Amino acid sequence: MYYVLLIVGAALVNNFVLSRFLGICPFMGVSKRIDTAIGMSMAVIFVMTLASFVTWLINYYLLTPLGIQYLQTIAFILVIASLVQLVEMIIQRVSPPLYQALGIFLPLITTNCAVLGVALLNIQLKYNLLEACIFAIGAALGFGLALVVFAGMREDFELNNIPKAFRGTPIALITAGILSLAFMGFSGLVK
Amino acid sequence: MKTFKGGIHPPGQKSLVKDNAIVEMPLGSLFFVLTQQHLGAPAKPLVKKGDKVLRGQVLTEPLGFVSVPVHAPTSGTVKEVAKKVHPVTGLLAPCVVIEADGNDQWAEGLPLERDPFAMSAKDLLSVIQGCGLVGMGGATFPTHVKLSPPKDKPIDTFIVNGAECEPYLAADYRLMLEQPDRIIKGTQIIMRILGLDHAVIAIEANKPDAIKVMENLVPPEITVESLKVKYPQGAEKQLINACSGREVPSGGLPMDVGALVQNAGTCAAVWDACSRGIPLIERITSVTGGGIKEPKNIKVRIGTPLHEVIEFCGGLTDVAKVVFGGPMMGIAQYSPDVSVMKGTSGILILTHQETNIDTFSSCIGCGRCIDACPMSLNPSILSKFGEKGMWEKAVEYNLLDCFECGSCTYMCPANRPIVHFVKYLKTLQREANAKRKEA
Amino acid sequence: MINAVILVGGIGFVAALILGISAVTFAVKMDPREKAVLDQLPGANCGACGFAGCAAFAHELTQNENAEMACPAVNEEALQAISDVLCRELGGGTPMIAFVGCKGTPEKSITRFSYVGPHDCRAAQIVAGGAKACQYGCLGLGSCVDVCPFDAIHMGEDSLPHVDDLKCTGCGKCVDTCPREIIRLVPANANYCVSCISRDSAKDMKAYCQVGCIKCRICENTCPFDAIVVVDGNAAIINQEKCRKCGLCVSVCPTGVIEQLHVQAKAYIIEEKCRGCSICAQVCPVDAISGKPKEPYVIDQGKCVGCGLCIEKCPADAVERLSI
Repeated sequence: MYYVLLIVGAALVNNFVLSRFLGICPFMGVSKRIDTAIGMSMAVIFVMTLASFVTWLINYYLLTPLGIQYLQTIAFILVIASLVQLVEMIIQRVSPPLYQALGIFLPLITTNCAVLGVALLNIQLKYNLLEACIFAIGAALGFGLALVVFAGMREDFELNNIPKAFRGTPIALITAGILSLAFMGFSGLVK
Repeated sequence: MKTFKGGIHPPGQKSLVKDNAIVEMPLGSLFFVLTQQHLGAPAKPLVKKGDKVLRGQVLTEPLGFVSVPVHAPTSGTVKEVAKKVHPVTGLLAPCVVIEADGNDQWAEGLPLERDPFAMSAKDLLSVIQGCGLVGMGGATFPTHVKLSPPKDKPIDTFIVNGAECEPYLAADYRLMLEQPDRIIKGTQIIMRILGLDHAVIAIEANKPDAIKVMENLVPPEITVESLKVKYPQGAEKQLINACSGREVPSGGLPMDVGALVQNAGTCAAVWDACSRGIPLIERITSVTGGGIKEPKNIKVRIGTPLHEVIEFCGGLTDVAKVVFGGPMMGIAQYSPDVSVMKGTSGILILTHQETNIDTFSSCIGCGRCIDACPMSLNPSILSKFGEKGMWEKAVEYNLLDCFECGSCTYMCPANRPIVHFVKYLKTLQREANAKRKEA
Repeated sequence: MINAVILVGGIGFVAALILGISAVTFAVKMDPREKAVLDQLPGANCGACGFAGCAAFAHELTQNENAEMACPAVNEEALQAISDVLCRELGGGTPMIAFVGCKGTPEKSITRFSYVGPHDCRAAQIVAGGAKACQYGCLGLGSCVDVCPFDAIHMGEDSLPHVDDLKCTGCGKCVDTCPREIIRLVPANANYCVSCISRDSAKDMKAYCQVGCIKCRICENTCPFDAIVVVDGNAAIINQEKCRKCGLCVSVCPTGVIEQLHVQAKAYIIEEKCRGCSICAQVCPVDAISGKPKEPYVIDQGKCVGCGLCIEKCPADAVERLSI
């Protein structure tokens, strides 16, 4: 039950994109179409979970014993960067159209504050390994949810006559803000 | 009271003309008989300039099964076979122009006397095609084709459409009040053709006197059904749904649920054709609207030019729009030279007050159109697809189930011309299909 | 301190090892030339080449040895750059631009009814064939303007679209969009085009348009090069390959339906070089050149239309264009 609440908390109550405002870059960039949004979500779920796992291990079995926790940021980024490179290579091989569609946003997962955020939060919130992984899965699911919901909305309001000044990113940002407001409705769901 | 899902309640506006008894319009001097007054394959003219023709004489030869001939509305000489403006497409179409000789002499042998109840279904259908009968509610689908469903689609329900749900129109209403026997006898002939022992005459509840007249006169095998007043109750699929509870499947036809609908006027014409051999050369038309001085229900010959009708009805006051048909699904006219056709149920002369020509804005997502749509479609998104020309997505959203009743357009607070977008998308789809077939 | 170095170095080394192995395992053959070609393409994804987008066309050009240059929007530089990258010559083809074949403004042509509905020519076309009396005339609602990916066509005050020939790349999207096929592609160096596609007779046209082609054939009879013809009841059409841009047809056309696209620089004779052979005077379609044998000839600037025939035919290279 505790783990279910952990996932609900990470995915809905404190949604990484809409409540914590991390990972806005791929959120804006890849949410134009539902299929690319789903592809990106898969990539992020993979990276987030694996990164959390590896970074937790590195923190508690390498950094802490050696007393060099100050290297957290650098070490974590190293791990995340390598993982993203790996994912990039796999996607390029397995699904070239998805690779084309994601374009520049795939390597940008590296500097995506959401992934680093999860890794650091795991440490901050003093989770054990299992909790850390489940928290990461929840966070990734929430990220995916926000992305896919937003992509669905964007596909729909593409059909509308948006004033020229607002077309593209501006209206997307405004809508994202309203979507954030909507997600505030989840607050208090998990104590 | 029986009804269907969706629909709207526009103001009836029938008071302008519904209490006016049918008046026969005097014959004019020129008649413009378009050769294509039906849905289906064209018909080839059989006459040429200078030919003498008699009333009821056949003028064209149908080219195919889904085709009917047209006949001379009066006796005279063929002035020319030329291209004239067609009220439905607005484009030029072949037309037989007849200069009347004033004698109004019937073609040889007409009208004859025979007992249609002694004729076989096959013979009756042959007569119906030969007399050029089409659906007179406005769709003008060849009647003999409708009455010849394939063997694997047996019909067990026949409904006579006396709903006349369009505002302004009262032609069928007056016909039911004044000549109910023609309708009833026509119904019985159709029952004979279909091999049925019962039928329903459906009338909207805003015509209580017509309902009473019918109820008093129908034989026991015909029932009169009183339906809730709502537009578009008179549409085929909605009529079948209200009367029998059956739903015609998406992309399907009434015969898929064993039902068949005929307009009341068509039934009357069937009686005339089968019992006396009279072809379809005249009809009852409501000339109404705020812009005509003397609204009338006229018995008018096919091919009578519009300006003559207007003159007979006292002339114009203020005119913004002229519509052939009803205000919801009728076609606006731009040429004063158009003529009355088999499917012209009404001629509306609308004033500026009665016409809406405001510009439209973006869809506000209110959903009124979705509530109104009698086919349970999503007109809002279809209109958005229409703005962007995205016909493939529109087809995915059941564009082809829309029969363009106009309920959505009527309800839209943003004034969007949704039916126009639907027609446009359908045009794009047809063009794309034609291109694909060529390739 | 040393721990930090070892740790970070260690992680880096392990990561590099994993990535190195993956790079080999998951290797995807990518042609680097493709990126270079893609960079040279305009990136508008207009589809004129027949492919889904610039990336798809770049792929085709790179992979298919025999692929022709089908992009109308590449300029000379880009074409050269692509040819260099792919190590083969890519022909450019004649640059084309769009030309609008209608001059029927609301003042000069009749409108049958007032149209209410979507502001789109293709949607307007389905309402009784469009509000304009002429079935071949421009409806003026701007579907062509909306579809242009290069912002090269705009609706004028006269309710007719106008092509900006500096921006137009001849991609043909407006040509496909126009429901009446009024817009067509002409060579970019064409100077005269007939601005009407009507197939109606002069008698019918008189009722609804003052500036259409009435098929009088005066232009056909006047043209010294057989470049303009009226065929089978169609409006006159200029064969741009034969047209020598003398402008005589324009001067005799009774309705003014032939449009001049560019102003041409006039010619002048260099006295010192002129041998007085009179060839230029003979070929001049407007009789603008005169002179005595063996003496330098002179071009009457008032008559000269800048067709350039004299420049072409002069055996002494004595005729040149004035700079505009």
